[in-house]
Amino acid sequence: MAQIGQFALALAWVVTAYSIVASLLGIRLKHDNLIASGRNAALGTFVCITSAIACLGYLFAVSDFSIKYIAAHSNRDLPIYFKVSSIWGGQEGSLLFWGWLLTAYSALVIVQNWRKHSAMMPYVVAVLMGTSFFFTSMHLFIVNPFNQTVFLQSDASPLPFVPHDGNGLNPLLQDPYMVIHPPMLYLGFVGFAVPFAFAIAAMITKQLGDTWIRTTRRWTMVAWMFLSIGIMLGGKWAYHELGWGGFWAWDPVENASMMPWLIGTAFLHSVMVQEKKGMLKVWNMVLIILTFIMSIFGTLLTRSGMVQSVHAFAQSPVGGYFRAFIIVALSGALYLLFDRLPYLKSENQMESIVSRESSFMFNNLILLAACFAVFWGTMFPIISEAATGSKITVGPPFFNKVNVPIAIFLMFLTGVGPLLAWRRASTNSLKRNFLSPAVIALASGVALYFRGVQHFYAWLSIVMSIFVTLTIIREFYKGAAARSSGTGETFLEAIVNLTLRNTRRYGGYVVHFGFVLLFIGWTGQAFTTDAEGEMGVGDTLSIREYTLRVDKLGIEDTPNYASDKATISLFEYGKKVANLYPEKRLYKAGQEKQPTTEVSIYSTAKNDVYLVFQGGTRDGKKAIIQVFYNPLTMWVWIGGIVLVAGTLIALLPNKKTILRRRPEIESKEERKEVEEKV
Amino acid sequence: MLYLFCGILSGAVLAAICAPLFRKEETLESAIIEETEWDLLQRKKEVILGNIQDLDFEYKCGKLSAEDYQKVRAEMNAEAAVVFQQIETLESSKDLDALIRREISARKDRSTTTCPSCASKNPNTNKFCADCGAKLKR
Repeated sequence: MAQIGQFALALAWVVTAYSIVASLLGIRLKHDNLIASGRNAALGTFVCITSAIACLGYLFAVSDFSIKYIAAHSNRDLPIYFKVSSIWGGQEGSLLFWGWLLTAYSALVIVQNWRKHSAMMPYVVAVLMGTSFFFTSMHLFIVNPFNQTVFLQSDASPLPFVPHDGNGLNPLLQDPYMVIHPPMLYLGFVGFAVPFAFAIAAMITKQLGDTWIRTTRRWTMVAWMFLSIGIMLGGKWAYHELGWGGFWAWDPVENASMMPWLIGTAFLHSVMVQEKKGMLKVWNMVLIILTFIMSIFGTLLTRSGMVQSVHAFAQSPVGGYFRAFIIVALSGALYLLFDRLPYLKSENQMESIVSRESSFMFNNLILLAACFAVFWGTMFPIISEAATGSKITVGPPFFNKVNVPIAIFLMFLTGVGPLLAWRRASTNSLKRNFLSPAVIALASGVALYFRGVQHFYAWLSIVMSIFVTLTIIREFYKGAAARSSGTGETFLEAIVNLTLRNTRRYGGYVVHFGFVLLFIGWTGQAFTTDAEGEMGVGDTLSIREYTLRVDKLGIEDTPNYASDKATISLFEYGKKVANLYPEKRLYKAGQEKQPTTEVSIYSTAKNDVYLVFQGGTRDGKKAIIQVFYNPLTMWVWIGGIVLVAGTLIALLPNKKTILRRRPEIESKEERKEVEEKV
Repeated sequence: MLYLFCGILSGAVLAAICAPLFRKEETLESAIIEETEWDLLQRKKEVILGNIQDLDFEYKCGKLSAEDYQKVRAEMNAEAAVVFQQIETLESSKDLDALIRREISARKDRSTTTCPSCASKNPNTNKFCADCGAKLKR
């Protein structure tokens, strides 16, 4: 089966190269059949890589340890669903998975757009296949997942052998969230290749209106949504699996996913300015180029071991190739952009600083500043090493110091932006829109201050959250009221129809609300407290309104791992609310036994109680239990779900208006009047 | 098994790649229709009309003062008028492409349904009359 996989990879490499050559040559020679052949080759690449990944899946399923990748990332006793997720559990497989998603997206784009955008599509295929060629080359020559397991003899010559069992999947990755987190993240990363390819095609064909933006709008949103889901699941995994009490530590790998997300968010907003006013054309090109480059850079950071990370991926040979690819892609795209500048002139000018378009511009600058801060902090060890010779790592305090005020300002813009009118807004209009939300938010702020919320950023963040929530409610309320007065729909019907008639706008508001909830969850982290104790059976430990009591300390043995486990009763104000089971596991696979902590969490809307089994005392009679009191954490996950729901709404096509005949509107004239109003 | 699978895979991919090369004539791909001026103007018209619709709705929601609304609406009307004028000029010119497009859009216009209640014309896709709300017969 490994030979079939190997053959499929080799075939994919040839076919991808052919697809690029045929597409470009076909355009040059105006040879339609050659262009069509290039397109079919791109579809063929998808078939080849699919075959390769199916082979890899099969090899994992049957535990074929003659293959190095399988031996390194699986073992016989690994449950089947983890065997499947082991495909992306290591370097070779995850890059193959990346490449496979890219070919899948390419095939989908071709099927969807070939006839609609016949001028652009050969170039789109060439760009997508260019990226795919890079990955296929990596699979085949640098990080081949089908290489054989070998034993190095004394003269350093390799001798193939089959180990009795594999090293097993990294225990930290043996988590349900880890089964779906990488695919979601990669669907996001890879998805940005599609708008990038269209942007390049638009520049080459000089079709620089908003066609490419309208065509890729949904693709961009889908990529952004998957990236958001991936980031959230990554946070959830870190929270459950790493056992340090939080969900975001500004680790380089986390930052790697955050950077394209930030620029992608900027892009999603700024395209609206181009669609509405024909402005920011160069800016949008820059943003989509950067988003794509950051996606590749993110993969490089995750996969190269360039910067040390809790994910602890070893140094690997892929870094240099990724850097070369980034340089080629970035310089090619920027050269093209520079060459096409005369075609990218703005159709309008910014008329006022107080307008929707300027708020989008601010939002873009802020998002870019956040991205730059994350980039700077992540790369600081490398920058400092180049400058001073010693690696200096900057930790969460740096990121928090820079990004918290940025995020709060962004929150402010989230509330202000949608209420500003396009072109310009007078003081009178501003008063209408902002007076009541601002007054209520400030009044709540004063109340909160006197109720003890005196941490400045936390206070500001809650006030901003209230302000933004009020503006969102106001938008729905006013819109629904206007609609219902014109159509006779009930208020609820009006809200639903309003949303369905302009899914992008109202879906966007739902996304903003999800962001508010996330923000509230983040704010709660400012009030986290923890306690630790050596606890035997019957011992208690208190934190805020909770008390823990150890009921049992035991050992569990399974084929995959052995664990020390505590059974703990949790009391809130003296009343029992839950049984919790924190564990310390020792995974058996591999020569070095790998310990992990399995935390146990009691979660409510108000707070989480998060228990970690740190280990046993020397005499083995007691367990060291650490407990974290994390306020409002649940809102992070709820916010994530709302954010995704909002994106799904925004992805729906707009419903056409069908006016219901209202009984009291009888004459044609009256009806026309109503239609005009709506 | 190994050879069989590799043979099938490479055969299928090769067939897919070569099939278009042996076709007599492919009409679609390089009948590359560039975005014409007419296309751009039509798109611009759609955008301006959409903007006007949005502006009206926002005014109705009370997000704009009457003064702001009237000013911006007047500007947008003027922009729309310019685009309409440009489209009109282009369509009345003897440019072949424009003429063909006009014919096609005229044909499209013919595919309408007449409302049994008020006799106004509706696109075939409508289920109800956009004018009086009555149900349309297919």
